[in-house]
Amino acid sequence: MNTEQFIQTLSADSQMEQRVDRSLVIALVVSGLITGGLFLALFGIRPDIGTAITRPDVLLKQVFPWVVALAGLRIVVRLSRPGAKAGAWIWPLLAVPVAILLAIGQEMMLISPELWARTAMGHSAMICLSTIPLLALPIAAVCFWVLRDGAATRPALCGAFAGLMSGGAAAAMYAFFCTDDSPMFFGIWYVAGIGIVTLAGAVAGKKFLKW
Amino acid sequence: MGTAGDASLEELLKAANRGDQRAYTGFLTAVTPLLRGIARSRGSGLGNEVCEDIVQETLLAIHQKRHTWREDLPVRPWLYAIVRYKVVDAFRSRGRRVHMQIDDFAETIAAEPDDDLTVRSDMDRVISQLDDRSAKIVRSIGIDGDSIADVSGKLGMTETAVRVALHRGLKKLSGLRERMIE
Repeated sequence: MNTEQFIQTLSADSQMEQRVDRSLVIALVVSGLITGGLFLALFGIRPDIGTAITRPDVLLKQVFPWVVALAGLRIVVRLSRPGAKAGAWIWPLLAVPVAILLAIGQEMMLISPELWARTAMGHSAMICLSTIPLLALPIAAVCFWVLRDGAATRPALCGAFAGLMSGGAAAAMYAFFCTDDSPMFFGIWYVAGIGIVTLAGAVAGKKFLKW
Repeated sequence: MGTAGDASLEELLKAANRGDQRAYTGFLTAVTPLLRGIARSRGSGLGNEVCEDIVQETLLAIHQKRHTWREDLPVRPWLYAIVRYKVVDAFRSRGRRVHMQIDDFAETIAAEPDDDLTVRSDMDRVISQLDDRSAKIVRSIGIDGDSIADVSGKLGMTETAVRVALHRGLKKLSGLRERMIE
C-alpha cells in the first residue's frame, strides 16, 4: 500500500478518541473521592478537625496536598499533549516546599534541638509513609489508564507528574485522619510518601505511556 | 508544503476533527511531503523505501493522536513534536540513532514520492497480521479506493459496523507496530 492509499484509509476513519483533559479530571476526582472516602469511612476523620484547622501548621498540612494535586493535574494535562511544556503551574508547585521549609524553620526556633528528632518522627511516621502510596495506587492506576489516550512525548516525565498528582490527592485525604501536625513531621513523611509515588509514576510512565 | 500556509493546516485539521473527510485527506496529504523530507534527510543511507515506511508510521501516529491537538494552538509545534517522537522511534527500531532538533524541521525540504513506489511496505506486513475482515476493510478502502458504503455493500455489513471495524483495525495496527519495534 503506498502512502497516498494509506492516507485514504486513515481519512475514512472518522472516529476520534476523547479529549484527555476532561476524562482525567473526572478520573482524578472520582477515584480520589472513592479511595479517600473509603479510607476515612474505615479509619475516621480526626475528631478535633474543626479546631485543629485554625492552627497555621495544621492548615498548611491540610492545604498543601491539594495544591500539589491541582497543579500536578494541570501539568499532566499539558504534558499529555505533544509540543506543550509544563507551563505556569510549576510555580504554585514550587511554592509548596518553600512554605513547608519556612514552617519548619519557625518550628525549629520554637523547639529545643534535643526534641527535633522526636518531633520529626511523630507517632505515625511509618503509617503515614505507607498509607499515602497505598491510597495513591488506585488513583494513579485510573489516571494512567486515561492518560494512555494522550500522547506524552516525554512519557517518564508525564508519568512522574501523574504520580505527583495522585500522591497529592492521597495525602489530601490522609491529612483528615492524621494527627501528627508538626511541619517537621509532614515536611518529611508526607513529602516522602508523595515522592515515592512520583518516582513510581516516572517508572510506570516510561513503560505504559509510550505510544 | 506547497502553497498551504500554517493557517490552512489549522483550518484543515479543525474541519477534519469535526468529521470533514476531504479536509482530513487534505491535511494528511499536505503534511506528507514534509514528513518525507525529514525522514530522508535524517535517514540518508536507509533508502527511500524504508523512509516511506517511516512516513506511514508517522502518519498513523498523527491519526491516532489527532484529538490531542488543541484548536486554539498552532498545528506545527504539535505536529513536529509527534514527528520527532515517532521518527526517533522508527529509526531506533531499525538500529539507527538520530538526533533531532525541532528547530531544524523548518528548514527541511519537502520531498515527493518516487515513481517506483514501494510495492510491499512495512505497513502491508502489519496489515496482514490483522484479522481477515479488518485487513479486508483497510485494503479495500486504501488500495481499491472504496468508500465506507462500498465496503458495507461488498462485505454485507452495516456502515456503522464497517466504521467501527475500521477504527478498531487501525488502532490495532499501531499496537502491532509497537510490538514489532520492541
